[in-house]
Amino acid sequence: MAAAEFLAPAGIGIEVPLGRVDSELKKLWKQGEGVVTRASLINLVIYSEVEGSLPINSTMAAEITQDHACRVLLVEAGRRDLSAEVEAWITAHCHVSRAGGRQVCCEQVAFRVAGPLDALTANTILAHLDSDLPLVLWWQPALPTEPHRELWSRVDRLIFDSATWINAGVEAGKLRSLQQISTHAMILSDLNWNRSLPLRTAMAQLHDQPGVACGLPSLTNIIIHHGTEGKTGAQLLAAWFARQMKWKMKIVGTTTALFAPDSNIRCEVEYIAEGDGPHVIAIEGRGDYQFQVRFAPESGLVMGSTTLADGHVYKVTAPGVKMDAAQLMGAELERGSEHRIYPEVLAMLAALQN
Amino acid sequence: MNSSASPTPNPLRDGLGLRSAPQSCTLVIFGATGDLTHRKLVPALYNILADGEAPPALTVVGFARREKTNEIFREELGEALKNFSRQTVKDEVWDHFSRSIYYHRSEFSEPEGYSRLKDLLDEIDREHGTNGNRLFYLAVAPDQFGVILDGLRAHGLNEAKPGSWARAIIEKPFGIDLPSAKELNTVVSSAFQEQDTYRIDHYLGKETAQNIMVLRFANAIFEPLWNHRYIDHIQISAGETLGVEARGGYYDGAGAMRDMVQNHLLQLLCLTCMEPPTDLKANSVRDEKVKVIRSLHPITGDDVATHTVRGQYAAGAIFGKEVPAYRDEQRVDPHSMTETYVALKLGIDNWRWAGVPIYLRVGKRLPKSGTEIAVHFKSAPAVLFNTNAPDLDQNVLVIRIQPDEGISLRMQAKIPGAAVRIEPVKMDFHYGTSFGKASPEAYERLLLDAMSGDATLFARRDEVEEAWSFVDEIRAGWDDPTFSTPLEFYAAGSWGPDAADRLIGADGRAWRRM
Repeated sequence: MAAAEFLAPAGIGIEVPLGRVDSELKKLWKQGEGVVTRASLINLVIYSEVEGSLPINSTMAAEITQDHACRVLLVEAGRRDLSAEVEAWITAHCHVSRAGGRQVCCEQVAFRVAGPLDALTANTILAHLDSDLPLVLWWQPALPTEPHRELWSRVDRLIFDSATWINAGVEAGKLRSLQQISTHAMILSDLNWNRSLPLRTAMAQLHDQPGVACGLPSLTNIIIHHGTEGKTGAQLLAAWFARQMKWKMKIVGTTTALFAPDSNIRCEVEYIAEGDGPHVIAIEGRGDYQFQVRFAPESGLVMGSTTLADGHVYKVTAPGVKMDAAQLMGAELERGSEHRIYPEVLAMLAALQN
Repeated sequence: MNSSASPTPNPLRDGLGLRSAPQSCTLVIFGATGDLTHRKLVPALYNILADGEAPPALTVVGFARREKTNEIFREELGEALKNFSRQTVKDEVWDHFSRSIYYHRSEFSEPEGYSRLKDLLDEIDREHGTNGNRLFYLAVAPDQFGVILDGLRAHGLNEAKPGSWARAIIEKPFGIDLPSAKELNTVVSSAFQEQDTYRIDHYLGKETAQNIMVLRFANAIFEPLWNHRYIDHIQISAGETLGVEARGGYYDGAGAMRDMVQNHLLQLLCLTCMEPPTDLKANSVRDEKVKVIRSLHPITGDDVATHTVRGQYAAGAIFGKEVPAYRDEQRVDPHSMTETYVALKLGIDNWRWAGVPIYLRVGKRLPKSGTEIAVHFKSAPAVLFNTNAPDLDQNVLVIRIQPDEGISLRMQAKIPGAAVRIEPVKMDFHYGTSFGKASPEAYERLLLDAMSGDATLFARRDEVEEAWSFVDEIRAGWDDPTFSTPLEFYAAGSWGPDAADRLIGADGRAWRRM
């Protein structure tokens, strides 16, 4: 049996008593000694309050650790049917390194916790972090109104998904509170913001062409196509566009309108729901100048085009939209840096939805 | 001649990337049917496109002598791409890209060929929106540079239209000595200004070479120790198990000094030893690099014999297989005196490095392939632990450039037990283990930089000429019968001639075991 098979038992792994997690992990590594390399650059905590989330998140962690070495802590909180306050499992996600056939493994500890996030859960997480490595917290439920200070103060990067938000103003307020608690200048990473990154990139590429960007102020309509759960993502995209153009965003009657404060420019935004899911699928600009950027699922690519008044057609092709959460997470960890524009875009969206 | 045009402002670009955006352009490759195009350039361009890093319009014109259609050229490149791309080839991306690839048949010396090239480029601009931006890639032997650049100049192709740019990328070797480098640079500068000339040294495009600056200047623990007070010596080694393979004809006229030391190794030396630049702009970084080369203590006179070793591999074995002597390789003169191994002891005459020897070695047919920089710190005194023992082993920081890119630090640790016994241990960081995603190939980064107008990772004229000036003096010493610097022979599969061990051993030191 290969060393990695000892290390990576099927499912969420071997159940161990909470107090013996570290010693059992050591035993696990001993089995792979000399054959595998343990790798970890970050602590990745995936927190969920959905029953049965551990195996799903474990599968995603296996995908993420292919490219990003982490110590993974999975937490499924809110269970009331447990025999102990906390149940724990250990395993490792292994893959063959690109540096010459060596097995690289990332350890994972999964916890099932009775009750919501409280001192017990926070202590369980804090006790199992790899020292000195950044703490990335992927928070899957709604943002907390009463955050646990001890845990949140240590978060370096918060991953969340605004796709399910109803009131961005309220959620933005919660994020501000969380950032105030953090002693590590917590970076905000919204997976929903990342979903539209390929479209934003393709739009920027299309308008890199000299003579194309000057058409943008003559747009009178922006049409954003999104999945049925993608309205917030579509609004973030509209807010981004307004921010980049230095325009204001406002609701007039039932319509979202973008204004240039010092001119007559007024551009109406229309949202069209098509298909399932939380993705933004396409954005079209209409008026004297027109452009279109659309995700083509059949090719996995984003295609953009614009036709100028002189008949010139410009096209761009860019890598496609990340379809699942693990891919989005991978892209986020790869990008790494802070999202400088996002707080401004979020503030615009919050003002709109408040 | 032109100066580079500034990019058109695009409000949507803000906040999307940490680097300046590459601009739409046509890449014209001279020598397009050669290996470099198939193995490196087109795979790099494909990966740039597949990663979404490409400019909005990117077209390629292959300029070569053989008769070929666009379709055949695209087909050949598509086949090569499958073998040499670092990521799986997506048909949709390749189909899109391949429609932007053209083949232009002409002799390099044929004026009509350049006239037709100009028409083709104008047509491509109209069709693809490449805006008159041209990147001329001279993937040919240096003796062809003159005729190609003359052709470009005669047809005004070296001059950009208003708001556009024309740049030239030149592959090494940049000459064979200082006079030829100056002549080559004069030829190039007659067509392109220095700011539009990009001399490729692919070592500088490697992730680990770029990481040297990050390691030194983004980590507070290293820079205070990075000087003669704490560093005992530095070793820069580049070994390869390969012989000259099919390059015998070229290599026999060049040798290890010209092929590796003058460019790659001196560039690594510069990155290791330069002062912090004022910013990361191309000229700021290059100013600091060139200061290092200018500060190298010249190796002349008797120093040539005591500070240099040149060697050539004899027959031996590599990976258990017998391999021939260099002189028995194809297209190599059977009486060749060309060096396949060089070891040097260098000194840098400045405040930071006064008295710190820097040992360089490079060779073919060594037991292992690898390039690394090893910084040996001065030993801690052993008085506390064993007053009778010599000094403790040195701390060594090793930056592995290739393969298995990474960084390791050797330090001392106590062996468990009642007695105080000290042994060296190693902390090791491997890029391949920590970062699962493969690093971009050096050519990807360098091509993107050239499209963005960022020359930081390209060699400047004065760097190249100063480097030639330094190695020419050594070569002159080798050729001077007054000084005894015989060509030493070493068995293929060994770590080089004994004289190299004596060179470093004379200072009470030894080469690192790689």
